[in-house]
Amino acid sequence: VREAASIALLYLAMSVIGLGAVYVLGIPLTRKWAATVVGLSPLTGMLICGFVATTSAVVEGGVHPRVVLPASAGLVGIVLVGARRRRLSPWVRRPMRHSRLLLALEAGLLAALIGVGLSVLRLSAATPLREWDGWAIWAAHAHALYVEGTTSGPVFTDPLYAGGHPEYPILYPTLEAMSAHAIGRFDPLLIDVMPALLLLSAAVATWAVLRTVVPPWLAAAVALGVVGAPALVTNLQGNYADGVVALMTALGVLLLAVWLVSASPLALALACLYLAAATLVKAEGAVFAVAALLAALVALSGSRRPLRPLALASVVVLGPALVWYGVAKARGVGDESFDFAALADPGYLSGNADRILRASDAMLGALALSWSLSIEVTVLALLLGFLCRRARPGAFLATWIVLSFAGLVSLYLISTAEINWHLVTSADRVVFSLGLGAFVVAPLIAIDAWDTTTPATPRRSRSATPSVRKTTVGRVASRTP
Amino acid sequence: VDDDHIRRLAVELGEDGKAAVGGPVVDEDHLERLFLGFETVGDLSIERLERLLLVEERNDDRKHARRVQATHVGELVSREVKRDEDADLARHLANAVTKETPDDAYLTKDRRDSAWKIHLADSVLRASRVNLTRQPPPGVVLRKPITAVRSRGVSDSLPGLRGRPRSLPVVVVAVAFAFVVGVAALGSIFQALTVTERRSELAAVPVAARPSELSWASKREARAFRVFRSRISVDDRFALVFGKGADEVFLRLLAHFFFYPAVEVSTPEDADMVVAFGDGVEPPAGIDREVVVGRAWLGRRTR
Repeated sequence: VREAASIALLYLAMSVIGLGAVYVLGIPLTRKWAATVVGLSPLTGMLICGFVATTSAVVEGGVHPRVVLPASAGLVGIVLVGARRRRLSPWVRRPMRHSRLLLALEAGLLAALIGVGLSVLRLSAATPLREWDGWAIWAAHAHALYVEGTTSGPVFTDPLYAGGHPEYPILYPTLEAMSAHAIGRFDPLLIDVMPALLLLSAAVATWAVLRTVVPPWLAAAVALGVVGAPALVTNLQGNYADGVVALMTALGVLLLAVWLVSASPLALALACLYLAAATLVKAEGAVFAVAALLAALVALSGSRRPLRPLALASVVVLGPALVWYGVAKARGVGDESFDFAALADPGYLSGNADRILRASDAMLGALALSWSLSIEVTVLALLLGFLCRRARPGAFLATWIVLSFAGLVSLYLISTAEINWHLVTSADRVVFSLGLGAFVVAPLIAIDAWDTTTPATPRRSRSATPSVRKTTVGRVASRTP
Repeated sequence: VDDDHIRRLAVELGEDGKAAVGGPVVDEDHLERLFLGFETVGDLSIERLERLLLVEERNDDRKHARRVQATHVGELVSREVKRDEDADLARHLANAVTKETPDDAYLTKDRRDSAWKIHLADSVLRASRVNLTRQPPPGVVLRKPITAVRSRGVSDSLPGLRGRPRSLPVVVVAVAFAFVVGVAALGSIFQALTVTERRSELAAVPVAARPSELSWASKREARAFRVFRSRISVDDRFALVFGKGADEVFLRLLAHFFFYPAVEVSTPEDADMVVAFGDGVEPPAGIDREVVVGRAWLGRRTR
């Protein structure tokens, strides 16, 4: 109970910081936006604390909540004062006119979401570390950050520790180290509570964003589908980072899609936040983020929308990860799992062309096995967009999927590891972002297309009866809706 | 930004009854024509409506506006307008961005000095609002009250921006979509049952006996790590030595995980402790073998 209360208190503090952050960014604190604010706050707060803790660890400031929480709150406060009234414009919400039945359905689905999330949390608190990456990389990094508070110790600098991939970004382990500080010790049993909290928060954030652009009951159903996705739950209980990357990527891509259909700077800013978090969790996050930015560029081609915001977003999304890898390089640690120079070697590429087929086969198989519902939802949404002649949002999703897939295949192509072993140990995990991202964005595409249609025989109100009356403007002749 | 987007915006504005529109001045005749036009059909001219509804201060514009036929205006306001149907409108819709304040929402250019025009999009929005509320656009100043207005009424959906009719394939695909999302949501609830069951199974097993990172190791290696960990203190520096048959990569990672905060050094000469795995490893000079577990042993530097 004491440990649960400590972690809950930390979570609450991060949520309050997140609340300030979403307000500073531009989401109004009004009743209309209340659900969005409440839903986005926990995850946003966790990520802001994660960014601050990562920076603090690099500059040897420590990752204790006593340091990170005030620093994060101060950062939000400084932005609040600096931004004054110049906050970003939110997107225009979809009008909500729903019956009590549909609102009750949404409430029921939300209750189920919370229930599933809590059961996953309880399981995480009882599950020891048993997956290779979970203990060898992420828990080991979290332990080192908990004990030393910096990245200058041997775990992150000594070549003897290269097997633990010291070049991997530390956003995820810093959050785990913070939870370890909250309970007062590094406990391998409780360390994976943080990924479960990230899962619950991301699912609620998905609901909060989606309900502004699709019917709320649909948003709640999708979020419930996210929180209980079997592959995702299993992955996060193993303390893997792939599920966390997938959650951040999915939200980032969703908000990028919202930006595409609304041009809201706030949607783009939030998309940057989540995509940047994805790049700072694991290197694959950068692949998905670059693919999303390129897909947005493709979707905008032919329109007169300025590309400057997208260029700025690219800097914001990729900048922190580039800084991290620069710091890692300066420490003398680098990822030797991939030979990027091979991409420019025609001899190597032609000699290893079979890897393309093998990697594609393995990843498609993994997608079909674990994300079949996501594939169906995506295909149906794209079909709906096609039928309603709404090309742009669908083009964005399809391009993102294709580019991300191509990016992953490229990584397998230049992998220095034995390809069969590499595929067997990772192909099922790296496709999480594709499956989850498509599942979360598909409803936006479907509803965007659906909203362009009206019933074939529109129901007319009584006031639609033609009438001829004399009146004065201001005194309406016939009652209007 | 597209027609549907504008429609949403217009609905919200209609609900709130507020809008950030400047102060255009129109004659009553214009509005009268607007409403008279509901019953007529003609070809579309958005630009003319734009000139009618927007600021009519320059004389040439006003003269032009007066030449506008009521049929044109009426069609725009009462009939559906699709973005693809007028190239200028489509372009202006694409150029416009929406901004929302806590109380309001409005269309605007992406930046103040943008050269891309948006006034047609703005006009459509205002026309929709006029038709919805039967009021002159907010901010419009009437020179004198209109006394005669013909009204045909409005439908439930916002006129002026009605979408294309919903076809059977669209409905079928949409229903299938909702069904699959529902299946995913139901699957999550079943997943919760599985999770609860798994937790109960785990809770019945003592923590030390639960399948953990040591389940990767052989029984003897697992036992060795448990024993050695109790003998290595946090300040110790240890060296690893591998003999025949030892999986160096795996055992090194386990050692890092289990012995931390004690850290590994590269040579036994620099170490306080030496941990050896595999066959045929003898203690280096200055190291006494302290514990042996199967093929592994732990040695300590002699003081």
